[in-house]
Amino acid sequence: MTRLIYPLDGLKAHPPSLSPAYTSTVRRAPSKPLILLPHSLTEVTGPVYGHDSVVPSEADLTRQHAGEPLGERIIVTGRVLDEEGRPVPDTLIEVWQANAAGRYIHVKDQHPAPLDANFTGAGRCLTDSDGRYRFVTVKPGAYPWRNHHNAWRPAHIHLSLFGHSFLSRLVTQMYFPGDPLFPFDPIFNSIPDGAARNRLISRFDLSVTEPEWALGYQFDIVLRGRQATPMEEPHDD
Amino acid sequence: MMTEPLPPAHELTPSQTVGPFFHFMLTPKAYGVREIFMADLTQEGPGGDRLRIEGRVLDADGAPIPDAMVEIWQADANGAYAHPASPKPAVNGFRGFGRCPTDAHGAFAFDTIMPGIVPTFPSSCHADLFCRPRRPCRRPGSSTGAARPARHAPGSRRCEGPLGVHHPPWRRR
Repeated sequence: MTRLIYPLDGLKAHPPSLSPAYTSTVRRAPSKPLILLPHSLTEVTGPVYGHDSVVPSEADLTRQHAGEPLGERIIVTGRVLDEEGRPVPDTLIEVWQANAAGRYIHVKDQHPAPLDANFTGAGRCLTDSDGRYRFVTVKPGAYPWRNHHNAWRPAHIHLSLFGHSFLSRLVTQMYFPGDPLFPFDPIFNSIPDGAARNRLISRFDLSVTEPEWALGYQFDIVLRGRQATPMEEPHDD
Repeated sequence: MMTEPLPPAHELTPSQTVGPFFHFMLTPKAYGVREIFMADLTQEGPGGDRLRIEGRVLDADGAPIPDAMVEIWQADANGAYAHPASPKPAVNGFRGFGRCPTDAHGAFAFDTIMPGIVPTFPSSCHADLFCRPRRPCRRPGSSTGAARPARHAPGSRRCEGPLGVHHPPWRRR
């Protein structure tokens, strides 16, 4: 039977499952080596969504309520590419974030910072034919968490992407340049390689910035590509 | 398989935890946000044998993980995916993708249909688990392993929880 094996080298960019400084990995990380499972058509395909899946207004998180949210209005844009440098068009990006005060609308977030009646903090959009996406939102605030004494998360936006197939599925976080909390954050630092960590920091861009309206940030995202090696494998049943 | 020369490699964007607060975007029904992915794939109107997949996500102590999310991706009853790489098109309207958060007991459930056999490939139902702090764990089950659908393979992670599709014996190859 022919099966597909995807090259694994690039996956070293990801954080290991066990990052003891991030305490909830301790009971949730596998204690044994992962099993390499050959891929089938199931993994080299993945959900595809047309433009009917997404409403254009969902990409503007500042216009989802009667009024405008408080905070620093920002534009976040970039391109989604694969490892071979090709744009990934028509792929769904879902984003979620805290408000400008560092509070999530989530019912379980009990941080005593104010909620904003004009901000949910959830958005989605599709990349265009060049792989480009664009969101308008407010800059999220830093917030405390209980990982360790005086623990604070650097300001970040969560992103979820699909890409070409289920192999390229990615959930990650985008950070902002110059955040003083980087050295203290076990989640950011769970990525072993400094260069890989820096790929999660967006770049301020004056050309994206709109005069008298909003600061602009660029954040490109690279997903797994389409390369896979077919291999013959004995039937295991 | 790629045959043409490739442009210079771009380095992958690392993953980060999905965190505990994803629900208001990824499974947002309770937050008044338009929901586009559900745990009931039968609403898309596919033909085929009904299938219900239930499971729990547990940590190393066997404690429920209440803030995880499971996604499934599968072919329709004829073994076709709603994807350009599929050798044949999926039945109209069936996307074959579902998403379900775990509840306070770590439990999740999908209502779907039995995926058909895919030509030249083992039929399978693909599942990804997302849970703080983990990035996706992949859990393909295959028809060849359907009687033991990759659910407790040696070294498997308890954090993945049991999930698999049991093909009836007459469907197995």
